[in-house]
Amino acid sequence: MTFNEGRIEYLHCEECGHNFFYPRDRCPRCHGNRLERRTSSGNGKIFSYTEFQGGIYAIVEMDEGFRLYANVRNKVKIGDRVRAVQGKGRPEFVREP
Amino acid sequence: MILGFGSVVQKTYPGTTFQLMSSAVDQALEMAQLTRDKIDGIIATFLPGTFDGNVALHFYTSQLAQYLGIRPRFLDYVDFGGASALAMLYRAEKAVASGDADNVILLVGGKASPVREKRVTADSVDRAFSGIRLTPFDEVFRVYDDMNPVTDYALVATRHSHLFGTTDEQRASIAVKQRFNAQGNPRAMYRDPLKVEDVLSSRMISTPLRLLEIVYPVDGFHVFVVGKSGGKSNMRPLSIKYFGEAHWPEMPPELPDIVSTPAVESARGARSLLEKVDCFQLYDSFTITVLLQIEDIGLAEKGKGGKFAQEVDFTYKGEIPINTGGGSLNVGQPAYMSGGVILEEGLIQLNGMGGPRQVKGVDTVLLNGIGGWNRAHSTTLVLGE
Ligand SMILES: [Zn+2]
Repeated sequence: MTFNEGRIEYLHCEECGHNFFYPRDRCPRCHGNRLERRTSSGNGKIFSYTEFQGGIYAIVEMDEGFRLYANVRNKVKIGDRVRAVQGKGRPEFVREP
Repeated sequence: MILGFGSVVQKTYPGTTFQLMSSAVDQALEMAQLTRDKIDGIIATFLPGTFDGNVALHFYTSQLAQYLGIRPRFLDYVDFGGASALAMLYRAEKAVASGDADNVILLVGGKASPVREKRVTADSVDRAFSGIRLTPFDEVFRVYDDMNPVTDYALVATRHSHLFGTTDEQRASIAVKQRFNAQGNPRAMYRDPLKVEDVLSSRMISTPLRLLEIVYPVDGFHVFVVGKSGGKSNMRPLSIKYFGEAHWPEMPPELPDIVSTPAVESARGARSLLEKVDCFQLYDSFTITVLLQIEDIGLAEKGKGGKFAQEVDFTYKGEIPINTGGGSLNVGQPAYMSGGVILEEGLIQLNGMGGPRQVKGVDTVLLNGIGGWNRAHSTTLVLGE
């Protein structure tokens, strides 16, 4: 939701329990508007990835259940565990050993 | 019915985009045996930057009419990207049937060269021009480095291989078979024979997608004329046997998975017609796009599209002909939208105008268009007499 200090914030729907990232004023699953802003643990895994022009673009599935597009600093495979770190104006991901 | 069509497609068109459009209009009207004064409807489509290098055209459809010297009583605009052309045809047929217009022209195209020269694509156009928003979420989306739509389709291809074991060779065979078809199409830009090894040794652009799996953006316009039957047009009196559209506006990470397109829904009502279809024109921005539609319209089960691509002869000589003119992978992609290319080829086949690539006895064609950087739009059309 915002990228302050590399933290990944997301929205939790208090009506249906859905967690989502791309910020809206209504829950995309139930259209409820009782939403709570939460901070992700920053831990997730690779849902898909592509390597282009020397960088990695990926969809990361966070442990809280939502997914987002992001860049990853290491070569990865689908299912690899990753962790969010502070990038320039955005969180990026590194592969967990 | 469709009374006529015309196109002008060049890598780089030397004149203005209005001239390019106008010359395609002249071709289409000649085939339709109509003059401009008989046109009272226009339907157009547009992507930022891809008309003439300007981000926007103020009152776009009005400018098109202004240049063409047409005063329409029916004016419409469809912004489904690559899926637009088929939806425009459906809307034109409805406008003519209802009496809202007598003769409607569909204008699909523009110039890709000004965007291409800035080294961005239509879906990363915000990198080259200011004042363009791609999503309501750009603040947490466009801060990342990508090369959409190539990178986004690459994510789909990676995941398709992971889930179903789809191989690079299977995707490459789509490029190879379409190139075979292109050899019978004098309008194709690429006509040299191609082997799977050639595709696999072409430059890697965004893993796993290689150069020869990706369309080349060009300048061009496709124009189609829709009006009542009974006029002077010599075209076959075709009608729409089925039309479906579906829109999945979600950010792809929020979809249950990324390996399906809204063609699953737009084509659902055409399932019972598949047996009758003599050839298919499937949107081919990338090899993976064709593979996804092979599955989503029901030619193969989900996950079996790779096997289909490799094993089924889908050339114009084969049992299930697909993209019989080589598709936009070989014709080029005018203004970053292939809808005009596939619709034109469908009409060529239905009218027996295919020359060396003509499929025998074409009475029914299924076309599927996909649009939007995130594959948000799908339109499915079945045309027959
Ligand atoms: Zn909810």
